Amino acid sequence: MTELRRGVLGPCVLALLAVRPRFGLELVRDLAAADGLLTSDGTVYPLLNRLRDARLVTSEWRDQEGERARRYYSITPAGRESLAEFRAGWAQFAATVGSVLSPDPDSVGTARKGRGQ
Amino acid sequence: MSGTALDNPLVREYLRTLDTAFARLPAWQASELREQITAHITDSLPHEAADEQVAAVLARLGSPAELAAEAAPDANAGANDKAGLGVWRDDAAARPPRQTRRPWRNWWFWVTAAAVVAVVAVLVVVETKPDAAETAPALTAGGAGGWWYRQDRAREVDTTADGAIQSTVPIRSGQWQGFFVDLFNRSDLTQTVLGPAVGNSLPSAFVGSGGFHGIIGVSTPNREVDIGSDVFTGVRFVLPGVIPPHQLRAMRVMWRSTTCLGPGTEQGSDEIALRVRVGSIIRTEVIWLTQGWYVAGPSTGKYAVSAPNCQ
Repeated sequence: MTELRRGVLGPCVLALLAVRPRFGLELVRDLAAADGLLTSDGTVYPLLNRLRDARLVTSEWRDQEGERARRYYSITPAGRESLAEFRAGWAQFAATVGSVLSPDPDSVGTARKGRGQ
Repeated sequence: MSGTALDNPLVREYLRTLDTAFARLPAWQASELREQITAHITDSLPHEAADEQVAAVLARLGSPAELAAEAAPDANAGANDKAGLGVWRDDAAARPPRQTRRPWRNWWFWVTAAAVVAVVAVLVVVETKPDAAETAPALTAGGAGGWWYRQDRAREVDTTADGAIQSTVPIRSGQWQGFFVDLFNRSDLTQTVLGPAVGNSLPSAFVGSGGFHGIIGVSTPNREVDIGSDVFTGVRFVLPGVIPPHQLRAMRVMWRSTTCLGPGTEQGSDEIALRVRVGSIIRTEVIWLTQGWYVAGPSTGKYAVSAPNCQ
């Protein structure tokens, strides 16, 4: 599960940033709200940097009145493309995994029958 | 204590361990991650957080070793997936076929090798191109700055003459005095402050008769510095001091005031010369400090002008 979480964390970060730019802690809290997605808060930052290096995310410092300056992360057009690609593939992937993990007895039987024909 | 979360002993210990764990990462990567983690801690905790709160935030962050492992280049799930996005990619398809023959017997091995060598050669030439380093703008001092010690800040006198600002404090003979200024790297290359330039690097008031007794340091990444604050809780000053492209750091200049100054005399400077590595070259950069930093006599004790030491 750890590897699976790690694999899907990137797209989840992109999905959150596709809604609006966020600063680090904000992003961590939103990810943590999705139970079981984050193993530890700190791992988000190396991931953000890798996404940035892959040009899927950019960051900039923003000063907001009455608050500390914060580094905000935004999704790039390439990030949106990558996210769309993931979304398209994910539904099929999840369905495939689901069908293997929880096979429908009828369809398995049909398949067995089919093999003999 | 100013009461920021970074002052908490648990946080300090955590950051110290983090620095150790990050030692195996490239410096720029370690600096950036430290800045992000520090910001996370600062944002997560109120100024006067209880130890229980602090411990909970640090526990959720993960151990420094875990973070370092996550940041290491081999931490990614797939080699074809530097962004960690590979779950929907066909890793099996991306994986090179298992070789049953020695690769150097294949023509494509030599074509690939030649291509790699060519690319590396181009990168090396671009990266080490002296022109880029030579024409890179020098470091510039920003607006933020101040005397380092509270007793000097309490007694500083600012004067303006011909549009130039000078900040003067009484010399505290034999004691440490110093100031800090922001340094901004406007270039596209990392600039590393190596130390004061040999010779006229520092004004005599800072140097004293026996040479430079002081210390120059450049801050490691820190939120307080990033936002131009003059509160330097938790800031470390190091040398060599790395300033990545388009980033801001604070530079601290400290010295023992061993010069002999009579009453009404003062010494100081509004510039400093530093040895700086830029790309592949090392050069001297004379940096205007945006104002003059001066100490005023009379010096006292064995540094009084009448003392044998000063005759």
